Amino acid sequence: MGTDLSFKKGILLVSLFFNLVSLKAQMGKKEMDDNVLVEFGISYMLPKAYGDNFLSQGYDIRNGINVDGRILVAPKWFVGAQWSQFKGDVIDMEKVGAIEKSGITHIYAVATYTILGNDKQVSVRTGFGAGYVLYRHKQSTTKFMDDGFSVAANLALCYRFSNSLGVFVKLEHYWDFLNIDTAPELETFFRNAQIFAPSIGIKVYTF
Amino acid sequence: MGVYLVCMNKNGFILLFAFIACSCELSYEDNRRLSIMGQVKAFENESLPNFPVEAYASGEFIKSILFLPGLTPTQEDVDLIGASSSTPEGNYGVTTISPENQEFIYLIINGKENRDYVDDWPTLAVKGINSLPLNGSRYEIPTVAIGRIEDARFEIHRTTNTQDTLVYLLQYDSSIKEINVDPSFVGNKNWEMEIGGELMPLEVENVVSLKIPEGDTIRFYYSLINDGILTEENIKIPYNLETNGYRFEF
Repeated sequence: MGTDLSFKKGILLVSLFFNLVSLKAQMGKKEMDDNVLVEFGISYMLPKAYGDNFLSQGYDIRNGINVDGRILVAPKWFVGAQWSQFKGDVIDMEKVGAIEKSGITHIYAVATYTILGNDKQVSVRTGFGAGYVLYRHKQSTTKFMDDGFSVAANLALCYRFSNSLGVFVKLEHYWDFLNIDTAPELETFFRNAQIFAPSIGIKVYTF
Repeated sequence: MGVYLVCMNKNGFILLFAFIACSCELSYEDNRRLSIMGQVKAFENESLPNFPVEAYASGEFIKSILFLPGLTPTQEDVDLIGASSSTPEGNYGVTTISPENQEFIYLIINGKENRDYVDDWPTLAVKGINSLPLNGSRYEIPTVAIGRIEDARFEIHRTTNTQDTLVYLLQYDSSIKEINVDPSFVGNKNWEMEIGGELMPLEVENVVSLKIPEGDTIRFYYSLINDGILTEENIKIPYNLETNGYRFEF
């Protein structure tokens, strides 16, 4: 229930951000240096699992953090790395076993394409990431983990208010493919997880 | 986890110093979940309430930082590893995390400490699960019987034997029933209740009142005594639906 509320608040924030950026863009465009070489971003994310899987049915997922760094490799193309982390409290032991809580980390190699150019105050980007996901579980006093392969896709709207600083919102989706061995009837339930994770953050540009 | 250091001096004396770096406890396999499936079956196939089903792992572990072989005491570590509930047909499936250093895995069905405990039904402790074959991360538990706890009578009647004294011991489960599903288990069952008594030669009957899960079998140990033990036997007496109880004649 708490997660649903904060997720809705997050969506509201993202919508507000889009409206503000759109309004600002209409008021006048300011030319920016277009030779951005590297950019770093940090954002506050509001992940939400869905579908018929252990994460959506057994966890109350908390908000998390997303950090990324990218370098320009070709006009409009960036490559880099992304790290994100959030936690979840088990609310239905029947679905996941006797786990108290879990920390979920995604690490990706990412490629990003800029739909609107870097010289614009407002830019829109889409990206794809492939990498590793780690679920670290805490059971009473003992810890163990699950891990696997993960891919991500995102769409981001960035607003630069100076040459070196900007804000952005990102709509991201994670697909986790875990290496969990279990009974055949539970394999699909435990091996796949889908997470939709909108986030809002700041970006630093270097030249 | 421990580090063992063995030292030998010039005279050939061996000293063993064993230290462990941390205390030991139950630990769990990465990337693994177990499924424990089974069925509880009611007497006369009646519909059942939804019983809470809990799976536990346990083991004995050294808890001291300094480990001296044979001297350091151990302590039992018990963890809940999964929980579920049964259907009205009695089917249950518990998804659990996977212990890797346990001695026992067992189920508690309708445990009294559980908030979903169903009154008037016994608690079943299903032991020996980890001795069953693990097929594709799944334990399949044999069907176990459960019955509502009812008042019943155990009647002892003297019919043909008129001169011997009967000394008896009734063993049965009332609110807690222990079931060992280990096919190689040969130990004695732990009975929850025991009632003993005797019937002297001039007495023709004795009636014992019991609270027992409907349909359960009673273990009856008896001796016939007359200047020494003449007969000694340990038998099972099944529930008799018509008399709502148990009967022994001699």
